[in-house]
Amino acid sequence: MFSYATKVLGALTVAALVTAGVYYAVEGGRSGAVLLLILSAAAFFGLLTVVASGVDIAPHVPADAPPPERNAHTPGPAATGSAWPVITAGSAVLLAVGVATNEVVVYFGLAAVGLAALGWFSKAWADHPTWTPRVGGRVVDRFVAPLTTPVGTGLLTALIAISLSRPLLATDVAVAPWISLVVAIAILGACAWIAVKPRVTSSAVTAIAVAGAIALVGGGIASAAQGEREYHHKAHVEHPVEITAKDNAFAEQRVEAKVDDHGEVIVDFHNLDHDVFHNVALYEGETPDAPAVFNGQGFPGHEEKTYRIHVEPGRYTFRCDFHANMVGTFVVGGG
Amino acid sequence: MTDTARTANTGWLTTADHKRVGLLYLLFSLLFLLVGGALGVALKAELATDGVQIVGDNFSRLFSEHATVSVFLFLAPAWVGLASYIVPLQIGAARVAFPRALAFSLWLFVGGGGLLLVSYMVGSPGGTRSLGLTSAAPLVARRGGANDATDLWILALMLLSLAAVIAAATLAVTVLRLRVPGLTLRRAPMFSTATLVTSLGILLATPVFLAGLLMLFLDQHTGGRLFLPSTGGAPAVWQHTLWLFGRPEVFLLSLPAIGAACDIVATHARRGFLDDRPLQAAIGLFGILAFGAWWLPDNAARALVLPNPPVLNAVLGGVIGIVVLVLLGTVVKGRVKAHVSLLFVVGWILLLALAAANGIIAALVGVEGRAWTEGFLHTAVFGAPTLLVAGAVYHWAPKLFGRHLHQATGGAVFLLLFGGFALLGLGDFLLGYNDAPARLADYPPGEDWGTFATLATIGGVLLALGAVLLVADIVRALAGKARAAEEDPYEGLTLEWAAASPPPPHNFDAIPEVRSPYPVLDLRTGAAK
Amino acid sequence: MTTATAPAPAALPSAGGERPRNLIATGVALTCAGATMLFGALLAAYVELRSHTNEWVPEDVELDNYLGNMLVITMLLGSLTVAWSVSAVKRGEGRQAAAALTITAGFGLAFINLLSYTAARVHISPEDHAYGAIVGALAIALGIVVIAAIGLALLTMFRVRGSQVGPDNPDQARATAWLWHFATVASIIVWYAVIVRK
Repeated sequence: MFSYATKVLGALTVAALVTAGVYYAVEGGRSGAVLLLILSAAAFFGLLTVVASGVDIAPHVPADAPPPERNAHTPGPAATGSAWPVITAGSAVLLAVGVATNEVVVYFGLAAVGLAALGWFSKAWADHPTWTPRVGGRVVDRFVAPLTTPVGTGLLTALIAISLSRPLLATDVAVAPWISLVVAIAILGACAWIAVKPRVTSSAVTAIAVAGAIALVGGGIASAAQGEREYHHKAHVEHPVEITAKDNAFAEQRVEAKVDDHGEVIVDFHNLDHDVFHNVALYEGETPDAPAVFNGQGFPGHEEKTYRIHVEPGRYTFRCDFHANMVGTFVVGGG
Repeated sequence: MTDTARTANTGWLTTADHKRVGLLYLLFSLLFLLVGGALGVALKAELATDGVQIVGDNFSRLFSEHATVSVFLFLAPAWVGLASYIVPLQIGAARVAFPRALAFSLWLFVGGGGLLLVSYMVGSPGGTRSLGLTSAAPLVARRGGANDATDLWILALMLLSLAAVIAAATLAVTVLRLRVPGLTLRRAPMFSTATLVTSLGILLATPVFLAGLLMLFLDQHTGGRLFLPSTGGAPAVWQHTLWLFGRPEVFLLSLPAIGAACDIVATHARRGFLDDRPLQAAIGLFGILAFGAWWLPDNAARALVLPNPPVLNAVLGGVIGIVVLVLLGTVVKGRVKAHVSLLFVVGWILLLALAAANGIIAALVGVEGRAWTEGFLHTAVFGAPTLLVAGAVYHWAPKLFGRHLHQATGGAVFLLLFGGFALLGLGDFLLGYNDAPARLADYPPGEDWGTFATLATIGGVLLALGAVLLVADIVRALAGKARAAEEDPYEGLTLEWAAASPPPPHNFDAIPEVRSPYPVLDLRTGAAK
Repeated sequence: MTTATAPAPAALPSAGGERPRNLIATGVALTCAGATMLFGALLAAYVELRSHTNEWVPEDVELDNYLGNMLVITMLLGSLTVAWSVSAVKRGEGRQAAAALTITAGFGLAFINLLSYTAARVHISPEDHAYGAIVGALAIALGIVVIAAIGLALLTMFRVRGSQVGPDNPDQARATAWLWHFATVASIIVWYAVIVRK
């Protein structure tokens, strides 16, 4: 027979259908008719669901049965609590706030919802009556460990590296090494304390780990918010190499330079010989037929010119094209 | 504490016990009632005095907030909370169908409610002239531009709608599948039956609202493509959406009240209903008619909630009239033991009668002033169910708190709430008969409406006092200061009175065999034989 | 919280050991009935907006029948495989059921991929016209439903592999099938409205 719910939903199906027809005939509004038609369909779908979900018949009680008594049984076990519903709800709120305000928050929200759903599922899995340590172990071996071990380790490493690097980058150059020293000593000290104590409760270890994690991540976030310190690439600070020509000789036998970001070496050439023409030129080798890398224009002294020479790191010879005895070694290092 | 107790009650944040979740729903909803009520008092007080003093520039924002909070954050969740607590007890189940999902919906409600309040604090959702859900025209597509407040508002309502759908699905499946053997739907208590029909209605109506919110969001971010005619949109889209959500929602807020009223009366009359078939039919019919009134005239500038077309009004009045007649007959034929919750049922009937009487007058006389609508809202749509929320709390207090709520305080709460709603409604009705418009921050000088507005304000203040007193009484019971209750203090009829007060996490230690709609009554009379 | 492996304890043994059946399937099916109304509202909006203009499909939108048909065919294939998984679960063949559910999830991912490709290719831009806005809304709704279906399929697959869903407890497999069939029907209706009838 039709249960109460079936009758109500059936009546709604018919009523919505009829109203759709009447509404369309009278008002002619298509969208309203569409809505009512779909309401009818939805009610019908609900009706099918209710019918399919089970029959609604009371067990037959014979007329001469004794009066009803209390049965000493409970209708079933109570529900077990979990933190995941509230965590998932919080993540959903975060996601909503993100959609309304900021795109970055959306990603955080999505990640949080995903993680929360995963946690919820894991808890439900573990709560299921068929869960046993053996089944759980098999699932961990087959699915969880192969996935979480590499991914988790990678994420953990990344988290530590990124969190630790932020304060190091935010503080002064002189301070940063001390910070890393302090962190290293703290880690060493905590582990040493744990190792030395005869008995350490798991809650103590957990507390230390949590405190450390909070300090690490918190410090990382705070430093990231503050921003990196100003630092200059070496290329921006010009370190010109000096070559001096005096008394028809170079003052330097060997010059070392470094290329900057543009692959250039800066040479300050001082000609201290009054009225004498000198220049500085770079060759790939010492032999006379070595290819030239750079030939500066000659000029009489007292004068100085600065050259920016585009050159690969390597070993070169510098000489004065006017005076064959003026030779030296020019070593160019990487930037 | 036993193992059972520990597994279920490991803290309020992590609980999946439907009783705790229901209680939290109820408590949070009362908190939001205080917020919404305070706003209402401020708005009415503003109207009662000349000049804009209290509200300032924020009229539309506060008006929208008052309406949205009162309905979405108080009335609907209060029923969800009561149903979550009581329904599994009434049907002899140990839990709801999806306990953690229900807990999830609770926290979504709390978070969404908080987000909604935040959206009103951040700015004016929909712009400075929008009235939110209470306007037929779409939210500010005419004023243009999305802002953070509007987006937060839309998303908060999406969260709240999602919470409603999840809770409704849970409750519906609970009633459909978890009834103890022997308790067919035909024999189920009226509150559970009403919860089932309400839940099915929510499942069908709320997704329409979600669709509307999605369209609203897109509309806001595309410059009015969907709703503004000038850019190719159509306001009728929004109106249809709002109508198909708003109309059922309004009735669905009253449907659990009918169920609660029936159960309260039967329990205290200490006999089964004279005939329960009309009651069940009435509940079902009410739910179906909730989707009625589908006439959207082309010139509709109508608000979300209006008096129905007169025909539907009359039918609904008839339906409730039948319910009242059966309840009256049950009381007359029963051995009534006075309880304050019966007062609330009487108040419910009186408020509905007040609204009906004014409805007839309005139909005969013809009302110009739109303020009349607010009167109808404050009495029939919002006031009557709220009275019964309080009545249900007082009635089921032994199960909810394990203690009796103070009867004298309950009487005071009743007087304050009933008086408050009656005065508020009267004031609005009188304003309407005197052609006062609705939704004004302040009445223009020279009109004589100040007295009526003052009347309404006094009503609002009484209401606020009543709400505060109710909350105080509940807090007192929760703190353990009230009189402890035994398992079956009223000589009840239905299964919830076979559980301890308050019930343990698994609800029942020993459950009676069910052979009729009144298993506890059968148990008592059978044992007496 | 105790971490015992015993199932959730009851104060007393429960009567008859009858676990309520069809809980999840009923819940999911009822929610699908509700979701029908969500699509109904969007479709009603589509119909309404369409009735206000003669030139409904904007000029720069090139509707591609092939892509639309492929979307529906993908969902239909998913319906087939999910039905296969239900029958496998009922017969107790866990590995087959898990494989079927994985394939179903794969079809779902393919659908999402194709949907985003179609949206990009067909130049549906919500900012430009009402057509874009409402079709965009329909696509978003459809996408969300299919993502939920994929999630449920994967969840059920894990449960089947862990023997928590089996011939004596096929509830969750049926729920997955309900959700998937609903998604398929929804995509067919949207396809009909947008691609066939334009």
